[in-house]
Amino acid sequence: MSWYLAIPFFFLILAFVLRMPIGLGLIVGSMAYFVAKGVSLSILVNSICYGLVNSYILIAIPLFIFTANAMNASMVTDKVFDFARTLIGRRHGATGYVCILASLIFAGMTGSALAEASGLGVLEIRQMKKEGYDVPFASALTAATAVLGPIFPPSIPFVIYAMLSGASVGKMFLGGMVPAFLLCIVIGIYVWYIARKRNYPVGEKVTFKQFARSTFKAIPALLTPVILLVGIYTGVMTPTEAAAVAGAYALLVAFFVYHTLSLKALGKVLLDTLRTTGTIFLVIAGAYGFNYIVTSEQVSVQVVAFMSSFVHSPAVFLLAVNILFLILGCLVDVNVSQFVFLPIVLPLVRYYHIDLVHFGVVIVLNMMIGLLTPPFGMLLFVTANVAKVSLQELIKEVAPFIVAEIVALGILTYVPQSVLLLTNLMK
Amino acid sequence: MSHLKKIGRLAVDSIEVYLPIAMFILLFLAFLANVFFRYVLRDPQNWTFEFCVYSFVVIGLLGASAAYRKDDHVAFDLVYNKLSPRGQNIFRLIGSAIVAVCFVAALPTSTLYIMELPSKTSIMGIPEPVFFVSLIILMVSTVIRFAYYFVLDVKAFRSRTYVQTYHTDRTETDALI
Repeated sequence: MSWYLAIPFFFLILAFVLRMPIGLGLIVGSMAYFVAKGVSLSILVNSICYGLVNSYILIAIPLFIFTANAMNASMVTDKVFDFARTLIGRRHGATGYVCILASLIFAGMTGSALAEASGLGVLEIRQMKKEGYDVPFASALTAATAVLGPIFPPSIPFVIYAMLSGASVGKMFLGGMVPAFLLCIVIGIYVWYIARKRNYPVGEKVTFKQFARSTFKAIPALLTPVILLVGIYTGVMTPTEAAAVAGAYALLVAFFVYHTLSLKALGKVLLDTLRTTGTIFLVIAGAYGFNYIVTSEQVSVQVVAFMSSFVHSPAVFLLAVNILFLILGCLVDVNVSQFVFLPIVLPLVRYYHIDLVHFGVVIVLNMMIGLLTPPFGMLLFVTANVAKVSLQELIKEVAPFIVAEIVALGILTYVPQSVLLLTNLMK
Repeated sequence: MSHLKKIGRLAVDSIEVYLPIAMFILLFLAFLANVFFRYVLRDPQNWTFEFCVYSFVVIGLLGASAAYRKDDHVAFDLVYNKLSPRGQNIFRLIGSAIVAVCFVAALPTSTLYIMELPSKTSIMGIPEPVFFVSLIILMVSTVIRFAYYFVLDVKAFRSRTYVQTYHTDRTETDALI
């Protein structure tokens, strides 16, 4: 490991300070490293171009983004929300539980926390506001439940993790199911407590006819995750093909069943998909150059040697990694944590013989909690903007949800069976 | 002049927006075709896989260029937001200068390397530079945009307004949805 390694890290920090796009910070840092070392920049270009060509699995990302955007644009969220409302019925703080359930269902279609917050979130906040819930609480609940998006399959961060670690995407998707239900339970417990304390309204009485009608309307939307998961686990489709099929199904439902998507709206869906893909891609392109440097400087070897000299148990390692990534989550974007810092700790996961799927689910949940933690919490920015509340009020309300989700993270970290239960059953 | 502007705009839109969207639609159809060929016609096709992989590169790199339009790229602004307007102006100037200079410096080597790549895709036989040229387009677009931001920020600095005059309509949700 040479001092040249400090160059890309210096530029990464400089990007943070100067408000330069992080992806550009990574690329510029890599360029400076190659120039300082007297190595041709063609190696950097090569690692970006062929790195992208060899990342077949990542093609699922734009396809999942497209599915989520198509679902959001075609108002599928309304059907999902109505269905969840009839399932919950009369309870104190019923709409709070409806949000949790609707987010879980919608998570089966999107795979992205930000798509969930910006799509379903608008509806959730509007409804809770109408019913007299405190708006900061409504925004905090929306942000907290959006974390379910990338935990319940499909999941864009799981796809990226699978590409980085070599874990199976199918197993990752299975591994996320129980943790998603666990998250629903811990969030639900807090909603139960706060609904009684603040006397939030009781839900409306639902007749069987209303229930049947909302279920009938929601069935086409509810089939999306079923098609996706059955397609993957029966071996009919690869996860990437399943993402395309889910996108096609979303279009069919929007055009021919719900009649809620126009050609003009489809154009916007495509443009939004392109822009979101582009933002992720710039970080990925930068990360390929950065990871080339990390590999050639043998950083992983040094990190393993350093950590193994004083951390002897996997339990302590998991604690340390969780704390490190929670801190990183406060400071950097999730893509930076995933593409820059995760590859550095992955050799340690193998060194301590930790199951890759278990670690993947734990670390993705950890990074998603990072979307809720200030100062750099993207979900906070989105929901504060949607609800028009101050970040300060929102942070106060979101803090108990963060604690609840960290409790769930602790359970998942130290009870591997909670993650591996379904993957072991599928063996 | 306005005609030239329109033509220029159309050319940029075609490269940055219409082409990658068309590639995305084709990628989408290629995946569906792949499943259809494999399970309905019992005749798996390899070209679909290769087409998807290479078109993904084009979509991502040109998409990254399109994302500049609304300043969608993720940036960390906590330090920046603490500064005075003058400090923010200076930071923007430094950031834009670094990006523009580094990318200009890297452009000749990168262009030469990509254009001289002799390899072709193994199934479709298309020269790889056809796809990898997207990286050069992204680099050129980065240079032009950041040089333009630099000029606007120099103007703001000289007029002592210090205000950012580009991407003024951007909101957090704009950047994320």
